[in-house]
Amino acid sequence: MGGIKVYISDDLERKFREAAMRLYGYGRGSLSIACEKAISAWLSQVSEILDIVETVDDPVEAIYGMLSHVKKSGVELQHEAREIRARKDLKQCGTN
Amino acid sequence: MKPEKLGREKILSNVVLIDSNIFLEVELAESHADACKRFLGKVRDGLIKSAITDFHIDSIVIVMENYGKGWKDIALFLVSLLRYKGLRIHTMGLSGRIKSTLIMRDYGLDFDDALAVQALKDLSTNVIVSYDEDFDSINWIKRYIPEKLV
Repeated sequence: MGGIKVYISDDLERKFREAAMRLYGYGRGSLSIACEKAISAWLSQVSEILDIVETVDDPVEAIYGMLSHVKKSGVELQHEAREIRARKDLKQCGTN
Repeated sequence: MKPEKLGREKILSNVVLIDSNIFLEVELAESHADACKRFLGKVRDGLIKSAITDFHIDSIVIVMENYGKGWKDIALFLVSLLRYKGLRIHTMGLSGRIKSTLIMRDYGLDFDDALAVQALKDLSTNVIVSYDEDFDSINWIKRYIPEKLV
């Protein structure tokens, strides 16, 4: 069985220890069980898309200028999202 | 160390919530883009710990789709989020949405903004990085714009 030493914030460590022990008991092994579950959950999220993710070198540059043809502010667009959402929902109601 | 910097470091010592408009400003490449790029660069490098909700990510996608962006650009945006060392995605879930309705009632906010406020509570933080002045009506929330943080 392998072992990994990691460094996390004090607050997260405290919360993690408390949750792990409340769930799996105050004896030895509780932290390892919780850790293994957390790592497995993270891996299942990313392992299938690792190849795609590696194609993005810089995440900030990757999205820069994608909407440069739109002459509105970010806040205006964000508020617009609400209207688009509502419009789509109403349209779907109309077709059903 | 400059006093101004000390204050900035204090703000950024906890997790900050990033609003959709910060990413949208980078996509718009207008006047705020440079500051937003520098701010997100710090998040990318893990110098700033931050979070964005799944709901706010969807809002960005909705806007992108509405302005003609296809699956390839949307995929690129979503994939890029995994490259930020200092960004975590906060899932709101049904209970978070239900609790947000109480924030709508208590603060008179619309649902989208109430979700952000609920996310701040979930994350035990009071700092949001946003250009949206709607949050200024809530006295315990500290809203910062990227220009003040980079």
